[in-house]
Amino acid sequence: MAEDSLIEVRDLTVGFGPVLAVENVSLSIGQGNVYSLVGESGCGKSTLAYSLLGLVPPPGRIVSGEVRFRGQDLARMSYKELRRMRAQHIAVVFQAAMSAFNPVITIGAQVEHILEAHPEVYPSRQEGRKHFEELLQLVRLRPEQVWQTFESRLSGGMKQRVAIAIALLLKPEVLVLDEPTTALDVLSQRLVIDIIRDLHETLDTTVVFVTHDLAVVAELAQRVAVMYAGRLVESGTVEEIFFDERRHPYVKALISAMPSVTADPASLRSIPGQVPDLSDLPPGCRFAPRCGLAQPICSETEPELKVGASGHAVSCHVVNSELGGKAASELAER
Amino acid sequence: MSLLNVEHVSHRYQTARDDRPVLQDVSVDIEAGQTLAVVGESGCGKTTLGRAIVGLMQPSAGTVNFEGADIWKLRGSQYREYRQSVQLVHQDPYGALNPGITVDETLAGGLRYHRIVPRRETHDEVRRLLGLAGLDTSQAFLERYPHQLSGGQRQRLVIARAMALRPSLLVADEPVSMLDVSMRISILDLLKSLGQSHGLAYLFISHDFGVVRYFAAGGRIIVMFFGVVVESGPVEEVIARPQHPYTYLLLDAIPEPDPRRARRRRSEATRIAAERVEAYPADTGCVFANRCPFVRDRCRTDRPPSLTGDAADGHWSACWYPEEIPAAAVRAVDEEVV
Amino acid sequence: MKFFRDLWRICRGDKPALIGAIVILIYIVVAIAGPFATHVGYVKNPALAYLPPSAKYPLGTDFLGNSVLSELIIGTRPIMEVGIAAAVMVVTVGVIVGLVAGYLGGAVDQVVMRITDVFLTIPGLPLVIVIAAIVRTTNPFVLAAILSVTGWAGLARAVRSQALSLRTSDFIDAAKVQGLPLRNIVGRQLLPNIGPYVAIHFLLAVTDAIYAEVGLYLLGVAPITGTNWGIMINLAISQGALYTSQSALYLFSPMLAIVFLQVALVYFSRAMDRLFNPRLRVQ
Repeated sequence: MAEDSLIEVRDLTVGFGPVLAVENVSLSIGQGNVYSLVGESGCGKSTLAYSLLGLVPPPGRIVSGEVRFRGQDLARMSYKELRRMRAQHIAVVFQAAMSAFNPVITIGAQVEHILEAHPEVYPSRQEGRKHFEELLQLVRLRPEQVWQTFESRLSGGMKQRVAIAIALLLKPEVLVLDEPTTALDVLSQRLVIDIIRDLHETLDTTVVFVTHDLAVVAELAQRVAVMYAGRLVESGTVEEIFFDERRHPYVKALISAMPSVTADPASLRSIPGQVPDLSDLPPGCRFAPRCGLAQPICSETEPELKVGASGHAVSCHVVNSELGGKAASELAER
Repeated sequence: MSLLNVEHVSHRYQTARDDRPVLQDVSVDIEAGQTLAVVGESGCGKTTLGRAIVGLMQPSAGTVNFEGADIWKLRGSQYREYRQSVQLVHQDPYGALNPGITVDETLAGGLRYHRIVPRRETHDEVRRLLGLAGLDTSQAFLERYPHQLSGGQRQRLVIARAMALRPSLLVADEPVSMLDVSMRISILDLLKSLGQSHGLAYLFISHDFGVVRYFAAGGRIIVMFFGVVVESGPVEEVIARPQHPYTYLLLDAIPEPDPRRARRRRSEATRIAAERVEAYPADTGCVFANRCPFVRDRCRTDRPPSLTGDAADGHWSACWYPEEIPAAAVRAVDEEVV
Repeated sequence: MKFFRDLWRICRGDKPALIGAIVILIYIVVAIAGPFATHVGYVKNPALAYLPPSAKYPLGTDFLGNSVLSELIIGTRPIMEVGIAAAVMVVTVGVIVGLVAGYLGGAVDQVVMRITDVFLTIPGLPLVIVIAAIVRTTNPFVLAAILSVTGWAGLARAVRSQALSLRTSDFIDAAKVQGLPLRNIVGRQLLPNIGPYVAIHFLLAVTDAIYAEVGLYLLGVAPITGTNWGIMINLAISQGALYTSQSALYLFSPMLAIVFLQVALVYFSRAMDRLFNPRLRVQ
């Protein structure tokens, strides 16, 4: 675990009744990093992201493990402390930024409310408004487009950007974004990607974003954690995730399953089968039923997350075993 | 004579706030067995065009013709033929299936009404359709309800239903955009193979150029912007050498699934266009004038002509200055991503 | 058959619904078999009037000397016949009107809804009383029709709003693209989706009809022929049951019979949502 890790997750398990949405996940997010949580539907990435803020929606709850922000365990924080942490240290932009606004008051009024509620950040309202205008510039909006406007007059892309500006208003150290580019048009997506990149560079904010789109990961992320059916299957730098030889079969297969304008169509392959039902998991490795490299051991025991020298961690019997190198390359050409 | 063609279709929603026409003088041809892709962002009219072709919506101007005849004037057996020949594959596998009826009934309903097969063979035909779509044909599966199926299974069922009436043209509206990435190729492959084995024509609607490139290889594409067709041509050609600024910008803005190349500086043109992304479409002159990074005076006063049937075969664009568009919008397509 | 198996499974998991189902079943059996098991005479036998409960007369006797229990049993069928018939009419008319108006929209919807509004604003019970007083029928189906005269309107309105929201669904579009006719769209596409709503409303319509029906008999507006609970209450009161304690059972037995049935229907309606909603019914 890195010395300057801001957020540390250790063996976190989050459950909704008998179903475990997140199981035994450990990762660490360093200061100033752009970290991405990637996976398909039902993999637990959003639940994990919300756990970082202590925001797991009931009836979900943390079953075991811990989430520490600067060493402090979130589970032990009082409601007041959590609230303060959420406002000032970790901010969230939710997936439905579209519905995050109060429809009957102007955006400006909402910003004023926030400033009013946090005098410790901006002693003068004037200062707060000025800073908000700077943030609007960062998200490529002009104050007159936004201040006196009601949310119904803004397009989806604009609302997303305003939500980002508002999230940054209280100068958080970490910004968590849940699917920031999903449901946006191509040009708006491009804008949001560029904006996130800019704000990371100029404000040095630590960014954690959740997505299912590997292209967005390639554009923005420095470190990536890939989840499948509630478990962490691989984590490492973005180059490792895309190019390393020792990668989890799911990650390789997922990249080969993405139709894109640059990929060679003949090399694309779907992943057979479907994501397992969390209430009816197969024994052993959860990806085994769909995996081209599956060995007998894969349907018996769950693989462990093995961390390599560079911090690249993979949870796969075949990749991690001594014979792994040879077997994987033998079977790799399919 | 083309299988289906749309001539000078325009449409206005009566209750629209800004009273903007959702389709403006759109004309396209679809030949039998051909694939035509329609690309554009939300609000461009591509879904409305699909609905007009499938007969769910009657445009306020212009005609939709099936084998030469206006579909809104068809009666009796001619209408029945159109109705069975043109079917729809929706984008939302969760909304496209009736939650209150079983898999069996979903497929049998249309079969029975149109008497596609004799009544006593309905059951077998339902199972044949399921098999065609790669689904379980057991009795247990037939009695399931949509909420018991996975997203991929639901989409396959939607496709099986679309095939029930033995169509010759399928309108596929974003058929994979709501599915997990790992499944998209298999659904696209299913549609492609059905197209080949049954000689189907496709109107393939999508906002994703990558998906279009995979599915519609060898076919044609039209690009739409706020109800106007701005470019038309062969798929690979349009993607490799776009002739309209909007197409160029869309292609340039797509996130690149390769971390080494993704960080490259995007063109100045894209930066400008992204910032004008909320500018209203222009009412006079070229519809794209307010957002175009290459805009000139003429663009604001003269509207480029609409695409008509004559330009059907070549590579056409509604732009006065296509030479302004930088070459090589998309990186060389022969470099593999892994 | 699968339907009954599912019903059994659902009731097993929900005690009140199970109790309701059993009670309703008892009432139905009594309604069908009752007249064969016992009978009631109309000759006054003062010696047997208002006897207290005993082995021979478990609920005592009425002012004519008849066993109150026998009267209850025989009186079940007329009440339930009319109640169920009225509910069937209310639900049939309400659903068809609501679905067609809601699905077709436009002018049809406007006209139909205006008519429905008229029926909604007319006070139900007074109208039923007036009509019953004029028509004076003993035919259970005519009586049921009278009881349904305004009841369908509320259901029609509610079903219409459901149809309005369902009509823009993708799966309705799909049905249209398949060229399916109106009767299929209404009957096979829309109807299953409002199943639970209709089933619950049906049961409640039975309770409404029974109350209204008993009310008619109580007020003497419906002809007092034969025996049923309403008539029993009417006669009990007119024979002075309110003033003497000897006839308490004669007065209260039919009331309790009504109450138990109504409660059973309400309890049973709890199972309707699960039974008719595929998402809840299937494991």
